[in-house]
Amino acid sequence: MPRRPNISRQTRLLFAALLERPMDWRYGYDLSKVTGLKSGTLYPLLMRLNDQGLMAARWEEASRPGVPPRHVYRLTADGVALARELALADVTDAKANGEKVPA
Amino acid sequence: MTTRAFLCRRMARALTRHAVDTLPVHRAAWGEAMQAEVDGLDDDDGLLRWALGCVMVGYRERLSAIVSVSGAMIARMALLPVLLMGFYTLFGGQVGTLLRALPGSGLIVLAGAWAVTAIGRRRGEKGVFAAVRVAIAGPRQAKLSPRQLEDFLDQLATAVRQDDGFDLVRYHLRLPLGRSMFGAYPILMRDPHAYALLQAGLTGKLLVSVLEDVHKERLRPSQILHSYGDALTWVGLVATLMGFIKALEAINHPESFGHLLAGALVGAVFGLVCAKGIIRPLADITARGVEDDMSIYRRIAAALAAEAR
Repeated sequence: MPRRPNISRQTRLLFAALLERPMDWRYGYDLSKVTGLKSGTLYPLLMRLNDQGLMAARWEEASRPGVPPRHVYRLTADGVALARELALADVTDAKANGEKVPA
Repeated sequence: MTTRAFLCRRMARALTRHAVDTLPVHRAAWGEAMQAEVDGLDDDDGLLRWALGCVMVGYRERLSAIVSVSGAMIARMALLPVLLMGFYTLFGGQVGTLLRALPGSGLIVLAGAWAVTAIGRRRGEKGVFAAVRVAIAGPRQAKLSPRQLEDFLDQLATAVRQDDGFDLVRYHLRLPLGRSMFGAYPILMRDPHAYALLQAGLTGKLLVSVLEDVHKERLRPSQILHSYGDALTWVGLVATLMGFIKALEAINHPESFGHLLAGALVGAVFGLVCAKGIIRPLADITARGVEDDMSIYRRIAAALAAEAR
């Protein structure tokens, strides 16, 4: 069982972004644009999640010639489970605070 | 591409290369990922910000690696002067006398010992600062676990047993970590000595002599620290003698003679504390780390020699 990470606001943002399309491999820069996290915050998060077995990383050949392969990321099964748990907890908290929650 | 975009891209590449150099070795594959991301980006405006963030990551990861490897050691080193000063004060000593003489004596001792070590340094050889950095940062910032070593050796043996296995392994050693079959072992792949040993073994060179050379080179920082420690001790004594001379010049001024005499002894105390309390333990830790690493290199050499037979 992987160690549960520190669930900071940035980690929740990253989990939410990765959970939107859990089967897709995503580039670091794309994740940065979706979450608004700078590379200085994003990479340490990716490293920790990878160390904890919550996120998988691999190299993907570029579609254009002359462009080097890039690192891509997606959640593992444990990561997806934790991300869903966090999303559910966020919804419950929001409801408890009387906020409107999208269906 | 405009000149501005071209310059941005060049600077971003240089910054990311710096980030790669700064990252601790066990994060080397992430450095490659950062570089690949910058190479693959079309957004010229965001490039520099992205690359600067990568540099920050490099420094932060390096710092956290140093703290995890040497944090306890640095804390113990800081504790030594605190304890000495604390007990000295507790038993009636006047810290003021010590502190007044410390900057001058300390500077004489540190600089003198550095000069002594520099005299005996060979051309192109790294000095005391580099040796201290190696001792504090750890030579590789991360240790290879026995399990990882066994996995690596298994993978190496499997690869070299294939047709043209030696060529295949040589090819994969040159590849970036992300594409190499040994990408899971950045600690070994980014260790220049392990890399040299593998290359030598795969080209049929005599590994015993390679191991001897590696051992000599790896022990050098520890030897430099030992020399510096010895120099600190005797330059401390010299500083004390110089202090005595200064005190004797004031023998007709009893109000300052005692203070000067007490201050003179600070040089010897400072030299001894630095030499035996800080530099010597650093040298011993470095030497122990080298022996740990040498056992890894010997295992790799033995595996390669067995496969070559």
